[in-house]
Amino acid sequence: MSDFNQHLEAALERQYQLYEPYRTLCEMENVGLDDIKAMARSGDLFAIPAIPAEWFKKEQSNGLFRKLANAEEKGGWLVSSSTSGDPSYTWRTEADRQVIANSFEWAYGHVPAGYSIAFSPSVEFLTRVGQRFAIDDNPVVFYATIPSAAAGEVFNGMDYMAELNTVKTIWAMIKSRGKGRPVLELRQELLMQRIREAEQNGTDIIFSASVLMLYPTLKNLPGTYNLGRHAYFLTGAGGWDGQKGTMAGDAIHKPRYVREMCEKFNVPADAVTTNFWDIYGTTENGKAQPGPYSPEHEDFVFQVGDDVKLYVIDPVSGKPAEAGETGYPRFISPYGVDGFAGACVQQNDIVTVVATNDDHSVRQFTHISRASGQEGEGGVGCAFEMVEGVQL
Amino acid sequence: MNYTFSDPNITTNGTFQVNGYTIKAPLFTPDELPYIIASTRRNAEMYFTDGHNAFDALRRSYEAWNDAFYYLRQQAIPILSGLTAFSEQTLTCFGLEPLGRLNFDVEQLSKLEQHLRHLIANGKYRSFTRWGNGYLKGYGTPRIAVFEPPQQIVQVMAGNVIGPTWLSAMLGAIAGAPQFIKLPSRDLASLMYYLQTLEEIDPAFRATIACGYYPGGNVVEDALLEIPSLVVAMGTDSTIESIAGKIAAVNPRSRLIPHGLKISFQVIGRAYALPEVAELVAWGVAAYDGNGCFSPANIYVETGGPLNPQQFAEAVAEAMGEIAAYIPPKRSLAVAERVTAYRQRQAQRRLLGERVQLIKSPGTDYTIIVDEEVPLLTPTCQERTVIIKPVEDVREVPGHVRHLAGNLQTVGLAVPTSELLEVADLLGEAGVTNIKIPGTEHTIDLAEAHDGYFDTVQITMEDGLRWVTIGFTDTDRAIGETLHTKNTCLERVARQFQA
Repeated sequence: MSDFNQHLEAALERQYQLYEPYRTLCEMENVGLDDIKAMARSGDLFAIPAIPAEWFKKEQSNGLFRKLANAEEKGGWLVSSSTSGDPSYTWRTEADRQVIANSFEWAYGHVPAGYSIAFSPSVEFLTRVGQRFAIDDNPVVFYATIPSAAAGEVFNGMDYMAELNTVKTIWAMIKSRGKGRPVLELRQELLMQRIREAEQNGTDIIFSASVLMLYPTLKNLPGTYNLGRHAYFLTGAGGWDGQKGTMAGDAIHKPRYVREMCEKFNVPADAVTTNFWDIYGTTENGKAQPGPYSPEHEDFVFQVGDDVKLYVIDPVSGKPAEAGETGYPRFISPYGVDGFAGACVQQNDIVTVVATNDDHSVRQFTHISRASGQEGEGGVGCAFEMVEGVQL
Repeated sequence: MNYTFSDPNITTNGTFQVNGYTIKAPLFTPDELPYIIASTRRNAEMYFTDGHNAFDALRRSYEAWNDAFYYLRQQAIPILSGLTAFSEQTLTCFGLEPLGRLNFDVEQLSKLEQHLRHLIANGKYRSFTRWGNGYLKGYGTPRIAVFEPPQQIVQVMAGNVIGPTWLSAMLGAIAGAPQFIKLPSRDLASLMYYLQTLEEIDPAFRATIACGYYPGGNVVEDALLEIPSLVVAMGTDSTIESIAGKIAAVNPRSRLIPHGLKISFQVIGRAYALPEVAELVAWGVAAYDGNGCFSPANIYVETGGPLNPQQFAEAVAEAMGEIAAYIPPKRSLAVAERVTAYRQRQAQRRLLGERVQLIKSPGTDYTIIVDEEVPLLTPTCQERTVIIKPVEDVREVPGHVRHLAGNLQTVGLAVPTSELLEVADLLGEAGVTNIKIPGTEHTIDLAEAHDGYFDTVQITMEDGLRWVTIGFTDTDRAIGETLHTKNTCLERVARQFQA
């Protein structure tokens, strides 16, 4: 048995024993602890009962996220960016957070360790913002700070492009009687300076972080720049549909994004598969899946690291999807889950499998979209139904 | 793949992309509307004043679609399956064959209005009296209003199920009036196929109908309503409200027969908590994948019977698994996402300590919740999903459904024959309108009050009552007959599709 499977067996046994809701879930699936251990040993990992990521959402879980946390362990809440308006809360130990950082460091290693221009606020700012998500007396860490800090470790230098404008923020707070949001401004001059330096010195520059901020900013820069193969694009944390956390913009068409960036920075066409990357990762999964752009798929093709097994479950058949098929990504890993019941989590996304391993786990995947089907009360046609929206 | 449908009164076609198909379907446009109205009215005037035999055409058209070798049926079923995601077996078994069994007794229908007037006149409407294969009772205070036959009929169709919408053509035949039918965006094709049959059988009758699509809120609707109309509208409550508002604004002389959101359920007395009744429950749930207004969403099972509610749920699950092997549900990612979200929500309730059990297939063949926590009637995500709710006495059920009184429709009821009228009366008072044996909810009988009134009578008369029909008189016999029908259908589907 591999180390991974051994560690997974131990992590699942611990999860089963520590968390009563997980035991109930297993019971509902007619799966006992011995079955789970056998699955871990044999490699039939897709059959391990998975916790839906929605059960870590503060509101949607109706408090269940607390029962999936091991607050006995020294640690704190790791809070997601709340794209849906309902952030995830997972309890993470220091070691858990280090696992996340290691995973992102591995992901960043797919591009050169050049100078990073991060289209995001600084770690310090994100840390302060994170405190607004405190739900009790325990420490709160904003998930986005971990990849951001890891980038600082990997790259030769780094600037954050979004800067707090204190005066405007105070004014916004006064005008809105304390309900205003921080006003962030782009460090345009610094951006131009870094681009010119890279152009002159022929050094690698990595445009990174939020595509929602990166794309419109770079697209609207005057003129073109001769960065060529030295320009790398390493986005992450979603936002392609125009939404991320409190940020909103237009949906971004990936082939157009790649084409326009190539034109703007004179990146040769054959470099799009090496110089354009995106990273898929979620708070609950805590592992980074980096993916280079694939002209064939007109999308990024994400790679799964050694610290996690991914199965894509086809909800129609309930079976693992094969190449070309779609389903829910189910991440299984014994690492980084000391503080919560996160050894087997199913994300509420739909992805398409590109390539699988011999054990049917996924090696590469693409085309990520948010799964629909969340409930509300309504109807379709003349029949009452629980649906998200009402259509005729 | 491209499919084109045409209408004798509409020359403009719209192009629609549906599940990888390109559909060209007639389109009501403001510019062409005066011509469409004039043409359809002229055709209706000629046809209905000329000793027509529209009912014969309707009967023959339904019979044609009940013939497995009918060329249009063979052509249409795979295409409709692709367009709607309903399996071919579902469309065959639930969409078409019930139409073939339609009790198309024109003589009986013609006597219906007279019969209702008689019941009202002598006060017999106040208790269940024999009617058709079962019973009939009216609730409320009679207030008869008689109307001239409408100058035209406007129908706004819903696309959640295939087949029942095909009865729409009948209203024009009864009223002797031109019809303007709006296709639902979810199903642009099935009614057009049916109308093609009508065209082949009786083209002059077909020409009294203009059938096409227009977007909701379109000016077409306003223009159609300028002529006093009988408007039959199916759909969500917001759709109905929108149409009611337009009628009030454009032409208050028009009348609306609304068919808004409906919810149905089943009630199983303890004596019938049996494996064979579980089979019928499963059959009723599987019909149209639970997408119909008549589809049972909740199953109230009386405790103390041969099978307890948990065992009954397991028996239903077993039967649904068997049905799915012959008649698969939709295989669609969008459906599976809805089912997944619903299952997660129910499992979450259990994890939070609620008394909820979840029995499910690995894929989306069936989902059964045993809910001992919330007795109130609650909608599900449909798609062969039901909630089984234990009750100590079936007489508790009206109290659990009354909060949705205005939305209640069909009940599948299995209680001893000796208790049938008593329990039916309690359910009728709570708001249900159509009581049938479990497993027959999806079948159509023109002599039943599916929404508390009779479509064929409503054209010229309103009586102020909410009618409730019971579709059987003897529970045991009805169960036996329905089991036979179900098994015959499964055998036929197995032969047809395995071949």
